[in-house]
Amino acid sequence: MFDASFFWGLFPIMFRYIDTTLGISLASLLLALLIAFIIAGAYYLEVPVLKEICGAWVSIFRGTPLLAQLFWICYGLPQLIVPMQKLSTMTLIIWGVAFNASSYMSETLRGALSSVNKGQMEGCLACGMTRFQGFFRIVLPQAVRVAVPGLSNNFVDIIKQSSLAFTLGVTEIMAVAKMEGSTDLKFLESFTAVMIVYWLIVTFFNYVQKLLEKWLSRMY
Amino acid sequence: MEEVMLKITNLHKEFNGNKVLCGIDLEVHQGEVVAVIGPSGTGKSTLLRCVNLLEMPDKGEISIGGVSVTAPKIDRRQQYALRSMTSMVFQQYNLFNNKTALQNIMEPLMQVKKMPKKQAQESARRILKSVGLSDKENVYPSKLSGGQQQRVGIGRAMATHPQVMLLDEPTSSLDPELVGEVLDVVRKLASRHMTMLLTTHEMDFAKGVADRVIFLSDGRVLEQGTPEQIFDHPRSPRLKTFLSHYRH
Repeated sequence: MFDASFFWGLFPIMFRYIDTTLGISLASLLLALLIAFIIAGAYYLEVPVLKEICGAWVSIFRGTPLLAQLFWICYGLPQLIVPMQKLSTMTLIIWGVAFNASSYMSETLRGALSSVNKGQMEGCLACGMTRFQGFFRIVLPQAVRVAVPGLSNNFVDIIKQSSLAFTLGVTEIMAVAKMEGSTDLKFLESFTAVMIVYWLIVTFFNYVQKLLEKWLSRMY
Repeated sequence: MEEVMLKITNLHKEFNGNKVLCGIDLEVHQGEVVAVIGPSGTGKSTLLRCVNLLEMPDKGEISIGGVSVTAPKIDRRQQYALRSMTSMVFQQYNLFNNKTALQNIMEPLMQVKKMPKKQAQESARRILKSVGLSDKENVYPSKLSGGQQQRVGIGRAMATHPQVMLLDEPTSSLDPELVGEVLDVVRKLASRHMTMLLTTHEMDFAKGVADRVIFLSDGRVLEQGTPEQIFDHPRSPRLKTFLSHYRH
């Protein structure tokens, strides 16, 4: 019923493709964070025009399914924006996952920013600092500490969402599980194995999160 | 008479139709300490917060040093220019929680005065010493008592050498036994002829430190004069009633 040697044999194969999964996840994380910070900053500082654009961005990427967004970015948009055809599917997937995650992460950051007492910004303004200085030097650093658990949660979602890359023909661990499983029709073994690998990755990053939180709370 | 440092003309402010300031006229001279007293909710804090534009006045004129602005049309550049003439001590201290005591004072020096780090550090150390907290320079606000936090707050407000210092109920959230240390620092500033506009509930403090006392009631300056005139010879019935609550 359950082919244990086949099951164990899958792990070395999957570990060979784990860099694709991690690559998509980490690259998406960085891009998503960058965008999320811009969105949250635009909201907090009420930057005209940019704030409206960011509002539309969040609404689009939070209001539609990720799979649809990935297909739109990989197959749809390149028909309109021809230079995009030169980009690899991998790059476009990173964009898609990052754009989607940025909308959630910006909300996490926005919540964290509003948790910082208004008096902090008033303290900055009262001693002559600009709103930008107050935001970047005082309010944002305090908000980030509050946001870490939420952002980590968003990152766990990114890791799991990277599995959608296989629907676009990128071979990462989910695709390997599908391919290996279908050669001998041993789906129970292959999908059990892939779930374990995802669980291990997520558990590892949860541990990193704990360390990060500990380090951040050591300061003040 | 010393020159006028702060001049407020016909200042109005309302919150959602609730009129808080109804035409305030006020002058503070260089080196003068002016205490604003009055019942709760009468607009004392709002008045101070309008002076440095943390609240935007609906109408009126404010001028400090060479900078003058006319509400409601005050752009960002004017806001920063006016604020750079002042500094504020808050009832809730509002120290930067992610900075140590020393860094709290260095921050405006480096960000506003563009002072190099080394120089800011030396300057901040001197200030910390003058408020008696040299041993706390690497301590974060969360680990300081209320009185210590407020002394750092005053130090931060001194750092940028403001033309006018605004103190909004500097002792109101302190335990009674911590009030003294903060008042001492304020008295020390007064003796150095720092121009100060402050609000307070401590009548003895107002009496001791202020050159002039303003009685604010229902958004208007009802009476003003020397501490002696206000506390010993109040004229209006409203002020008499108010003061009777503080007499034993």
